[in-house]
Amino acid sequence: MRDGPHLGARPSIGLVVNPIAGLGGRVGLKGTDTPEVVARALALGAIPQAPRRAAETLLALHSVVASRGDPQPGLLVGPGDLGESAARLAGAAATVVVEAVHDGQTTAADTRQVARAFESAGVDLLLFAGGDGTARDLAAAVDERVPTLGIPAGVKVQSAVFATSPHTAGEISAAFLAPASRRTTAEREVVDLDEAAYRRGEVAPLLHGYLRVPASRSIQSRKAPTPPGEAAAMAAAGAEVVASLPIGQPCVLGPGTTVRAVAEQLGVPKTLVGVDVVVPGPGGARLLAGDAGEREVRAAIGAGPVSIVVTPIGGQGFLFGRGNQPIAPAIIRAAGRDAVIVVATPAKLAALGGRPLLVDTGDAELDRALAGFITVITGRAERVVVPVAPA
Amino acid sequence: MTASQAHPATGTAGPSPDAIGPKPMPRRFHQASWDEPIIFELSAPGTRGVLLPEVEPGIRERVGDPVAALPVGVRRRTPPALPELAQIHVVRHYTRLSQENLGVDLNIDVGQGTCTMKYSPKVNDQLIRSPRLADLHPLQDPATIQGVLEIMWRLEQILCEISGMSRVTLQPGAGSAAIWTNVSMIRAYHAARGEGDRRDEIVTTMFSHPSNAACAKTAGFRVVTLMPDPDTGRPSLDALRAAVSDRTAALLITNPEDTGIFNPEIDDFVRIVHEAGGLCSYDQANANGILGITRAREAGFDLCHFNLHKTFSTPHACGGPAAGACGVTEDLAPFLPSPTVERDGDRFFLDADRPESIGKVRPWYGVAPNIVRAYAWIMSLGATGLREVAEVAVLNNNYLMHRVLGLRGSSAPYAAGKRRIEQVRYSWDELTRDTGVHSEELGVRMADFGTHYWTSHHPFVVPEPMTLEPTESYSRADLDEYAAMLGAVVREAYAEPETIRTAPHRSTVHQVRHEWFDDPARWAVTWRAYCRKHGGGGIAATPDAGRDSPPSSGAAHPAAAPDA
Repeated sequence: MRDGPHLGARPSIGLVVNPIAGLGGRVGLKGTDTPEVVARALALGAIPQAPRRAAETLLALHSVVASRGDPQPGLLVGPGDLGESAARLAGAAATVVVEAVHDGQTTAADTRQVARAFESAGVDLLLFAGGDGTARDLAAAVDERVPTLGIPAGVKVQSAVFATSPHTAGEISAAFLAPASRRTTAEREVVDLDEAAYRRGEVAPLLHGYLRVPASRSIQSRKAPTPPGEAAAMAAAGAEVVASLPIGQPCVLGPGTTVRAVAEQLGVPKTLVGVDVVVPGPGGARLLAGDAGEREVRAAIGAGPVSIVVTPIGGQGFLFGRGNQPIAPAIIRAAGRDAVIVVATPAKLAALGGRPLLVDTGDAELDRALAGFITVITGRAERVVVPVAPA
Repeated sequence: MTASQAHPATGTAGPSPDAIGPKPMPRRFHQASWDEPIIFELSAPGTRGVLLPEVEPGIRERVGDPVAALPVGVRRRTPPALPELAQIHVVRHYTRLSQENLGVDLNIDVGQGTCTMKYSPKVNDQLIRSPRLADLHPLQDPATIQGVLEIMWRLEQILCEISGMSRVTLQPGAGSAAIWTNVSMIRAYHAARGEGDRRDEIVTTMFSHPSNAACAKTAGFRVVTLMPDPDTGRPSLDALRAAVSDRTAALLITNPEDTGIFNPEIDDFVRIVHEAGGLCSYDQANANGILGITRAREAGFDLCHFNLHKTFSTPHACGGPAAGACGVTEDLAPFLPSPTVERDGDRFFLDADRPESIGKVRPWYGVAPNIVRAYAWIMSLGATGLREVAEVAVLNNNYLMHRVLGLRGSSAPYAAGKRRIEQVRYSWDELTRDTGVHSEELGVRMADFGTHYWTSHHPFVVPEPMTLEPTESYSRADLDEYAAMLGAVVREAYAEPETIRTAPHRSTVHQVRHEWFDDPARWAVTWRAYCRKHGGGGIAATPDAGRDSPPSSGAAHPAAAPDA
C-alpha cells in the first residue's frame, strides 16, 4: 500500500472496478467467472463495459455535488483498470490505494485487496462496478458495516446491492454523502446463481452474504423466486403469447422462466438465461438459433419483421439490459416498439407495486423511445398496462 | 398450551377477595371444537324427528291417496335420500355448528375489509319471516301480490335517487350477478349499434372490486387492467389513455378502490372512455363510504350496481341467495332484464314485453326477502340517516387507521398522510421483515381472539396486505378493543413469533391444507360430490377432514387419523 492517503474533513469514496465484469453479456455468454470465458469473450469482440459505467457514475456524482455547491468528495481508487482508468475517463482526481497489480488479467483477489485498503482508509462509501460475482468478493472482503453500493456492470446483477443504473449510483452516492444526510443504510442481500440448480433449469439465486447499502428506492430489489403455484399462471400467459405470434415470422425469445413457458407452448427447447430465436409454423415452431449472441440473433432474424418476447426480471422489473444483452439496441430499434411482446404473471407484476418496468439497453435514445405505457400479457384474455422508464 | 395462552389471573387485586376484578384486554376466548360429523353421517335409519298422528277414521276414505292427485311427472319414484334423525339430534347438530362460527353476531368483525360486514338489524328478519311475505309464491297472480311489488317499485325509486340513474333492476341474485348483468347490457348496447364484434375489451383497475375482471372474462371480454401509480395508489390518466381504444367496450371501476383511496379524477376517466366510444360502469358493490355524498350519474357513469348485502344490510349469504341491483341511464334502460316492475296508478304489474332486454338473469324477478330487508333498512334511516351511515363509517375507519398505524411494523401504502374513505389496505411489510411473520399468519392468530381472519388480496400489489373496514356498526369502544387485540398479536410477533406461526391455538379448526380447495378432483361442496369423489357413505373412507385432532380422538373418528 502507498502512504496513507490524507482525506481531511471531506467525505471520501473508494471505487473499485472489476474490469472484466459484463464482458460476456453482449456476446451471449453467461458471465466471466473463468479466464477461459474472458478470453473467449475478448476473441468474440467484447469491449470492457465496467470502466465506462464507473466513469458515468463519477460524472453524475460530480455534477450533483457541484450543483449543491458542496466540496467534491475525496476519491480513492484501485490501480489501473481496477479504478484508476475509470477516474481518468471521468476526469476525476484520485488517489490510488495499492501498488499496481501484475500485468495482464486482474483477479478476484485483487478486488478484495483493494476493498480492504478502502476499509483501512476509513472511506465513507465504497463503490464497486461489476456483477454478482464482484458483489460476492466485496461481501467476503469488507466488514458488513462499511456502506457499499454497486454500479451495475455485470451480466448477472440480481443482488439487491446495485443501483438501477450507473447514473443513479452517482445520485445515490451524492445524496448519501451530503452534509445534511442521515446516512441511513439497509442490509441487502448478495445473491449469485446456484450453478447446479441453474443447469437443472431453475433460477435459484443463492444468498452469499449482505452488504450495507444506502437506503434508497433506486436500489434493485433481489430477484424474486417464482413460487410453485406460478407454473399454471405462466402456462396461461405463455399460451396467450403464442396465440398472438404471427405464423412464419421469426421471434426472439429472451431469458427467464416465463418466456420458457412460451417456448413450451411452442414446443421448442429454451435456454433459461439465454436468448433463442424461433419461427412459429402451422405444424409447430422451429428453432433458428439457440443460446444466441447478438451476431447469431441478427443472422437468424434476417431483415424482415420480427417479434421480441421478453419478461421483466422478478422483483426488479428490468425489461432490457439485465441478462438479455444479445437483444442489442440495433435489433430492438429495427423491430420497433410494437414488436416487443412483454409477458409476466399477475403476481410478478404485482410484486413491482406499480413501479415502472426498466430499460437500460446501453443506448439512451432507445431507452427513451421505449418509455411510456406498455401492455403486458398476463394470462388468457388478460392484459395489464404498466409504465416503462429508462433505468 | 403455549405460554401465550396462560391468562393473567383476575380479581386478585382489590379491596375484597370477592370483588369482581377488571376483565383482561384482550378478553379471554376459546372457541368450541366439536369434531361434528356431517348431518348425512348422523343418519340412523328409521329415526324420525316428528311422529305424525294416524289419520282419523273416515278421512282416509274421503281423501283417498293424496299422492295420486299429483301429476305423474312430479311424483318421485324413490324417496329422497334425506338423513333420518331425531329432532334433538338436529337441534344439537346445528347448535354445535353455530358455536364454531365467527362473525358480527359473535365479535367485532372488521377484519374482512372490502366485504363490508355490517350488522343487520334483527327486526328486518322478523319482517321477512311474516307469513304475509314468506307464504307468497312467484306464480301468484300479480293482483294478489301488490304489496311486495310496491316494495320492489319503491326500492327501485330509492336506488335511482341514491345513484342518480334512471332505472334500476333488482333481479340479479348477488353482487357478481349484478356485474354480469351490467356486462351483458354493455354487450347488448354495442351489438345494437353494430359494434358488438369490435368492442371486445373491458378496462378495469388493479384495486377495483375483482368481480369486475372476473365477470367481464366470464362474458367473453378481454380484460385490460391498470396498475396503480406507486405514489397516489391510483392509475394515472395517461395509463387509461394507453389502455382505451376503439376496442374498448367499457370501463368497470370501483371508487373508492379497495385501498380506501377515492379517485378525484373519476369524471376525467369517464370522459376519456366516452370519447373512445366506450361505456362506464361504476362498481358500488360497497357504497358505504359515499351514500348521500356522491352519485354515479353525476360523475357521468352509464351503469352502476350495488350489493344489497354490503351497503343495505341484508345478510352475506355465502352461496345462498343474496341480491344485487343494477342502475342504468335512459339509454341503457331498454336492455334491462325482463320483467320489470311497473306502476299504473295504484296498480303494480310486471312488464315482460321488452324486445331489447338481455332476458332473465335469475328465475322470477328478484330475491324478495332481501329486497324487503333492504327497503326496511333504508326506510328506517331516511335520506339523512343514509348520509350519516357514510359519515360514521368514514369516521370509524379513520379512527381505526390512527390506532393501527400506531402499531409497530404497520403502514398504509400510497397517498402518504392522506385519510381514507371507508376502508384501508394496510401493509405488514415492515413487521414481516423484522420478524418473519406474514400478514396471513397474523390474521389466523386473530381467530384465537374470536375475530375473523382476513383473506384474498391476491396478487399482492401491497406487500403483506390486510384490509380493515369497520363500517358504521361499531362503537369507539369496539374499535379500541379490536385495536387492542391486534396490538397484542403484533407484540407477540416481535416477542414470540413461533406462537403466531403455529396459530390458531384456540379455534375450532387448526390449519387447513389448501390443496383441498385447489384440486377439482378432491374438492366437494355437496354430500353427493363428496360420495362420488371419495367413495363416500362413511367418514371412515375419507381423508383427514382438516381438524387438528389429538391422537386420542382417533378411535372415535377413524377419519381423523392422518392420511398416509
